[in-house]
Amino acid sequence: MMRGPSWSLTFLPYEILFDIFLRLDVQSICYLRLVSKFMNWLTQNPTFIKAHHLRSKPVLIIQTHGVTFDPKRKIKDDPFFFYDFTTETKTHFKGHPLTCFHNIRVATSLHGLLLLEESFPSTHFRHYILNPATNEIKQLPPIELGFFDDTTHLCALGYHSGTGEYKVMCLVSRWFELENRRHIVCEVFTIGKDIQWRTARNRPPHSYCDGPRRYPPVLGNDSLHYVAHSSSQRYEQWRRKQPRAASPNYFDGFILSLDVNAEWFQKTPHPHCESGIYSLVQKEGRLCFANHLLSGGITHSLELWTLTDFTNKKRPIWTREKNVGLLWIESPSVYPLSRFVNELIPVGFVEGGMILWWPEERRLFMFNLETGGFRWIPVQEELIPPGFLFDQVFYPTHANMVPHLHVNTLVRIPPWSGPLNLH
Amino acid sequence: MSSTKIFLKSSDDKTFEIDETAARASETLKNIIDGGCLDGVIPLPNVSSNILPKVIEYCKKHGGDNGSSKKIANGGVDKDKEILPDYDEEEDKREKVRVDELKKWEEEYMDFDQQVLYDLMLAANYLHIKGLLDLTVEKAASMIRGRTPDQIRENFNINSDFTPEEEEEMILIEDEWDDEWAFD
Repeated sequence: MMRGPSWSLTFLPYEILFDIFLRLDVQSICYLRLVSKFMNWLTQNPTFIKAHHLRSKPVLIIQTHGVTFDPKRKIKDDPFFFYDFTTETKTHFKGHPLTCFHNIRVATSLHGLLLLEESFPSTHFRHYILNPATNEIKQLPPIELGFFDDTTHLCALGYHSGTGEYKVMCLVSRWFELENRRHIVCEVFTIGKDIQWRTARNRPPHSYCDGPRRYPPVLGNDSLHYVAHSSSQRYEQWRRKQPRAASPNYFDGFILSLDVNAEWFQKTPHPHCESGIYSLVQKEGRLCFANHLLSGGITHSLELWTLTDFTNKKRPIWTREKNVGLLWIESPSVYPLSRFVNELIPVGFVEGGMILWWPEERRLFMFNLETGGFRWIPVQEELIPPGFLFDQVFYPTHANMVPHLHVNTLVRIPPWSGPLNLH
Repeated sequence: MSSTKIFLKSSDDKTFEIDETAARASETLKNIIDGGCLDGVIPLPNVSSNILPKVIEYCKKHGGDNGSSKKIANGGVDKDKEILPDYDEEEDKREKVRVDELKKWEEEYMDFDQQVLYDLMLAANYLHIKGLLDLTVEKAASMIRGRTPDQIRENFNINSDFTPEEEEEMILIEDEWDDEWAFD
């Protein structure tokens, strides 16, 4: 092999270069992009970005305070930070534009992109899409909220694998003149395509949603799913007749799915749930249904089902995956156990386990599905917020500040001519 | 069963000797051996004579790694090859010692300059030696990790082909994020 003295890294075959670059973290790749045009081109390649995404290790996003920065008093707080649960280290987000935000919460984390929701006291919301790894940020056009009511508000980021489109859905309450009443409608914004919000083709069949306030929508099988009631009045009437619910999670709802491509709402039948307590979580791109199996008012195990086939929306095919026994757990961090097992919510699945969230105590746990190992993820002191406005006034339940699973990726926000481009 | 010797010819016509068991660490050589296309010397036109000994050294160390070749190596003459003991506990202990030794050896082995690193990567890629490729690629990655663009350019002898305007623009974007957000 003949070569001159200038022979360097860039002369290696693509497959080796790819292999080298895939081992780097996002920060190093961002630096690498500044080295030369070739490096820039190679690392901007969608195939590379996707491969890098699949290789990245998930971390947790822990939301701490709603208030980020008060310019007058010079208070600076992180609205969220990243927590690596394998090494138990935390990383702070260093993006500076965030510091001038008001009350901010992370609504969804998807492919390394965050949907941020900034709220101003009882007036309006602003939404942002942020890639915290590359510091790319864009503001979505303002949305008319109508009457402000936190029980009717909800937003989430969805992705359709067929079209490759990212869409933001946002439930708002609107007054309908002809019917002389208010309805919840869903506004949709396709990132990179739309200039304004559009209204989805049909309305969700409820006027009150306690479910999404407890559990954020879950993306799976190219649809966004959440749990909802049919109506507050009817629900309250029904509830009064019922014997006392076994747990605060007790919930007579149904799964409502929004097809991300068709923008169509529908109720999705789910496996039989004797107790009425269940929660939704994503597992490998599919919707997972965690059914609380009760005996004597105590959840003794979680029954996990995944939505394996969702082509027929009326008759989805659920597959039973596993029964996870909970009652044998012995740990001082889950005392009292009976409360813990009834209130826990699965947050997500990672390699080698399931992450559980105890909203009332704001604690996180890792449950190994193979060995049954159970451990507390010790970020507790960070999770207890001081008495601040955001959580208590706007969001009566702490559950809105659920930790999210997140991967740092190079995924770019599809460009569009929005009203304000922060970058 | 004694292992047979295989002869490899480098790009500059030098011949090297290697045990069959060691050669099996390379996917390419294994295919040639198993395919029965073996007649005396295997020519390797992509590997030069100063790299090949290094590759062979690695193969000798790792030839017995996968299960099948371990059994073949059982009665082998190579003293590096492990003989399976009867007791599980002892095996565990020996495995630990072996892994520690390997790590130490790898550290010494990986002590070379960049030119050799590129050549080794190419050779490992060509001969399909997964372990060696992993090792070298990881080393290359660690040379990039956490370095600034200037450091990377210097390290790898890369000339920036951005025009000054482009560069300025990119640096501006970087600086925007590096500075503390000004509120005054």
